[in-house]
Amino acid sequence: MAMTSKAELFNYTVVRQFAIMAVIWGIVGLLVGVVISLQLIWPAFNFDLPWLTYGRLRPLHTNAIIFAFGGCALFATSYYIVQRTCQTRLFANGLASFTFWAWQLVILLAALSLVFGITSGKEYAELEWPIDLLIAVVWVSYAIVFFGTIVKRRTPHIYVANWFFGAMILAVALLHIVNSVAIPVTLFKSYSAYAGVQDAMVQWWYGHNAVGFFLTAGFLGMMYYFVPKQAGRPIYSYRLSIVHFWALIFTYMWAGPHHLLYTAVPDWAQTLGMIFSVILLAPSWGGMINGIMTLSGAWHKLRSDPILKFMIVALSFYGMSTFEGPALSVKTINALAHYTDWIIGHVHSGALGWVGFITMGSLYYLIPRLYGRTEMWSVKLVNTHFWIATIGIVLYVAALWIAGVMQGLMWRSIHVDGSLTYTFIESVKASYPFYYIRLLGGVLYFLGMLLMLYNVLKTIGQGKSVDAAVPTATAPANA
Amino acid sequence: MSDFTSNFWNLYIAITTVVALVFCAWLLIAVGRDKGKASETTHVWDGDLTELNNQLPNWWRGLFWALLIFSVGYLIYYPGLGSFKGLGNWTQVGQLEKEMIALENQTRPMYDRFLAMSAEDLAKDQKAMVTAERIFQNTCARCHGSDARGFIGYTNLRSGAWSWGGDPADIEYSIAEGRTGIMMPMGDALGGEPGVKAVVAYMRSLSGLDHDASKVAQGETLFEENCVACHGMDAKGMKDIGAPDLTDNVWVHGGTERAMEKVVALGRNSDLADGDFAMPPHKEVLSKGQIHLLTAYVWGLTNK
Amino acid sequence: MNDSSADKGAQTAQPMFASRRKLYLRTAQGIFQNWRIALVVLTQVIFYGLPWLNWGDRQAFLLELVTRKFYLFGVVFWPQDIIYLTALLILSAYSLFLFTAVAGRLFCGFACPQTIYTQMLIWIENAIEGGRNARMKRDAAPWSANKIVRKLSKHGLWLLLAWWTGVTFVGYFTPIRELVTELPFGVSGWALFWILLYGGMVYALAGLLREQVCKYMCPYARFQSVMIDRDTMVVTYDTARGEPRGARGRKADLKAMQLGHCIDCELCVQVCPTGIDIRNGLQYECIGCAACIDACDDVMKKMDYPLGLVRYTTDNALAFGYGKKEIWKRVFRPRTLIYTAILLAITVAVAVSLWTRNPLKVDVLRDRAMMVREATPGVLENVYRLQIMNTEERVHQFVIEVAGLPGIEVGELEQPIRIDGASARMVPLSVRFKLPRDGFEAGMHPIMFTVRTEDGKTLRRDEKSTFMVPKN
Repeated sequence: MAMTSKAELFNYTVVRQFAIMAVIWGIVGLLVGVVISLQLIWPAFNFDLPWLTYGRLRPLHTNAIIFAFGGCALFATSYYIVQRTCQTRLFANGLASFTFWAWQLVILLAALSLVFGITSGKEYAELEWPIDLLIAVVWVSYAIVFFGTIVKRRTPHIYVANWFFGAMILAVALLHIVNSVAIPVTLFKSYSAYAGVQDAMVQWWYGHNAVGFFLTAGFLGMMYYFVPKQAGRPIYSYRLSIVHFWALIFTYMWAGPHHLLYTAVPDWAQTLGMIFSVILLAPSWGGMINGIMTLSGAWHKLRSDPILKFMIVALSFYGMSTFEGPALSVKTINALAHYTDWIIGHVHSGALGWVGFITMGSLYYLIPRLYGRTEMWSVKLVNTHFWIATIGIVLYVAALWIAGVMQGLMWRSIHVDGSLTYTFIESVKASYPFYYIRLLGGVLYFLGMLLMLYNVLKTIGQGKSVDAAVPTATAPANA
Repeated sequence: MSDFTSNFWNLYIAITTVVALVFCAWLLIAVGRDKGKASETTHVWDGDLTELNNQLPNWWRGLFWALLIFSVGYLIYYPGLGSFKGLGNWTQVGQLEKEMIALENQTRPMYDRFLAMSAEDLAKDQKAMVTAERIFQNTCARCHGSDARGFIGYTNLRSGAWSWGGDPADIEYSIAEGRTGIMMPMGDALGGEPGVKAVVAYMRSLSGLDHDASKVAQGETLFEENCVACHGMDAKGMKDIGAPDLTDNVWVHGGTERAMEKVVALGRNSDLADGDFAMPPHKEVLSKGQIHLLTAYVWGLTNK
Repeated sequence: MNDSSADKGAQTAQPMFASRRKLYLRTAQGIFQNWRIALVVLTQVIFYGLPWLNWGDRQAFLLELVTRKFYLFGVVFWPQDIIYLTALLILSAYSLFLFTAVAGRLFCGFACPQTIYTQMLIWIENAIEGGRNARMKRDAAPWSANKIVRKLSKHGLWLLLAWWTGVTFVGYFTPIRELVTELPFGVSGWALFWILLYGGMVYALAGLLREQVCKYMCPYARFQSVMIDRDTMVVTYDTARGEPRGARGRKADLKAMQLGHCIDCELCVQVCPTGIDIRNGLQYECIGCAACIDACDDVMKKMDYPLGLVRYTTDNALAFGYGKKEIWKRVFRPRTLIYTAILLAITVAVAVSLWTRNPLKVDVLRDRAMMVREATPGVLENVYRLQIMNTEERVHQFVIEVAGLPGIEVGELEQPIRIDGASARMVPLSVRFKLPRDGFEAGMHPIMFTVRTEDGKTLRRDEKSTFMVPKN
């Protein structure tokens, strides 16, 4: 690697900030999750305080995990990856710093407003209009920094991870702005610009693409950098990445209405939602294949490298969730599973298994390198984190899958005369045993995250912030 | 189709759908035909990141094609391409109707048997009553209570008192068509509070409840002047207009002096529009057989 | 395989999609193959036989989805019992963790349906088309009547077996003795759909796709690989002993020829169901079936070399030269002990809960439109519905009682209540409580319903609820 004496340095400061906050928000988000799963069993855990009721903490949990934990992780990794693979310092470093502080402000405002019951009532987009505006500003700044860096790159080609990050940034901007259009009434209250069924369609067009572009495309970007780096292997197939990237982009946009099967949404929209969800199986598995096969030459490393273990399990869960998702979008299966805990189980197999594990694996790779080290303070603790989290996931997912099947069976059970066998409350009563198991699973996963925080703090304590120099030699077009 | 406000949107949806599907197919064909430029696998990023250009597994291509073909087939059979209804003419409302008809066909023999029986006989059929009880729990218990003993404002179906008549035919009519009764506000006509209290004292004496005996005579006079048109000289009510029997110590709106005075003074209007205590019609909600079965059940509650 | 194809890819153009290299499996003989045969027989005797077993006058094992009744020998499970399925799922997952931690992908190699059905279809293939060499020869030869007949009959038998497997599968959900009377063309609707789907999967996955399922599609295959650590026993080629490899005569002097024990006969490759060469080390394709061990041991015997050139051993054992004893000692490490402890705990919990399972289930539902009413002056009434579920297969007469407040009692109700076998009834009732003269605290008071058979012993269940006393 060629270096000059007064080398330009990569901007690791903003990466460090986001990486650490990702861990911290991860802990907060999981803790809130544990609390609300406690409340499902013992409602008294809201302590009779309105701020701690289930209805307010649930959106706090989802927002904290998706936008605080997931968002910070995406900022950290994308800023790191785009600099490293474009071989240049970030474009507009002041703006990058602004995205960090403003994003943290968004998170704080979100937490406060949700706890105080200020909400627009749109799932995963509960925040009121002033925060929505701030998000839009941060996101546009993010786009400027990211694409600016791409433009001033020193490499001839754009690395595949950056395609995914780029797609995420553009799509999320579009989704957020269109879905959040609202008529403000006061500082704290607004009404959606859409009414009735249009509102529902826009909401789930947004909602599912939050999953598709934020939680899938963004994290695939992470996968495409950290998996080959950690495995020390080349990406398996360039053309596979082309095919699955474009197919993913083209099909995800349509999948939203599968959240609204058998509702007032018109039949044609339901059909489109279903078929594009079913088609999604192929491009999703394309990503899984590319990840797994990238690791295939480094298989022996799996015995001892917990970071690779995180990544392989993440890809396995990605494969399972993207098989389960299309299956659930088929009307016949949806009729049984919709509104049941199966859906919660499905979401968490994706969130805990795919999003969580790929992030943890990536951060375990990233954080020591931001502090002048090559390894975490304790690899053994990383290993322990991995084992605890896998045990937890099994409990969580198995409990909710089956709870959902039970609820579906009970709700639709009828006597020979056509009257319902069970009242709704009986299915709630029968769900209790599952909620205990799910709580246990969630607590284990949370404990794993605490180990991670401890390990991260120790790693930081023993290392010191180092910004690597940008290699100045242009990468050869043909190595 | 009313979903689309103009034909533009219809075309817009249909065309974009087809474009998306064709794009996926084109991707599979075109990238498949691209023989892979050698240079593309020799990019290097960040020191050691490289890309191979391995072939894709054939089964994966097969899977992708299979899903695309499935989707095309699905779009031909089901509605999806704009306003094209699909060859199967499927609608979700149609599916619901079909399922309801299937259920109806399945239960028809049972209900046909019930309809052929008199309510009196049906009430003795234990199995039928189990079904009846389920329908009652689903439909009637919300107001009349799971045990059919009602609540203030909602008739106790086990009291034996029937303002609208207690024969099976009356009950069947009540269930099917609903009942709307009107008790006029009598406060002014009775000369204000003293008059109201006197009438209530008289009413209570008829049912043997404790009352102010000094007011009974005045109350009886006032009653004969104002109330007998509906409740009759003997105060036993008139089932044709739902005027209740005032001598049986059954009080739908409460049997305390206060409650009775309120009803007499302010009246009761069970018109649905007032959101007051009306019995709604059920002929749209329940089938003839179900109504007949419920009639037997309700009649059977007090006629063992 | 990646390296070679990658290098080629860098220099020469290649088609977008890789067609699969067809494997001509040689069947290994030996102890591990015997284990596999035993497992095939055991699992399939149960699978094909179980639906035909009767318990009394019904099928012993029947999962009736329409009525939501799941018959398992003497017990009828209801949807509320489906928690046992969760326990089963969790047990399976942790067992997979444990077995894989101890000895690699045991499940893949010996118990996975994909392996088992592939094995069965291979038997058919061998019987009709002959062994590896005969099959290779035939495939290379031009089409002839003989070839057509053999191919047709192979696929015909495969389809027949797959079809019967589908029928058996559906026989778990609908009475199989009725189902077979409708065969082959009288079956319709969902039953036909599932027969074709399940049978089609058997034919396609185990017959046609085979190792591609394990290599590309199956997420559990990846999942298990991460469960392996340095102390896990996996199928391993002893490089130190085997190399340098090379052909030689039986009596050859190894020292003089500078050869290891591997005679490079490639039998280990020919028997491998995923077509890899175990001598290249641990690979993601390896399903741990140990066929290569059987094949190699056979050769070692013939060559009069010690067995176990390919054997189950651990990474640490190879690195530090552990003996059998040390390997076994390391089987009991914290991870495996924790898994075992969890498995034991769940097993015990399930066993206890099944043992103490109460076949009488009761749900108490309060009326909510009307919380409380005064029946007669001073007597309060709350109304409830009791869903009484008799999951036993015989009729019972039940009595309902209530306790928890002084003098509290069930209002007029025809008792006992008759409930047929394996059915439920919603019983509405009111509960009466006479207020004491000196008043009673307003609010919700805990009460207890008891539903029992008349003798009070056969079946009995207590269910909590609340009784409301209003403010005056």
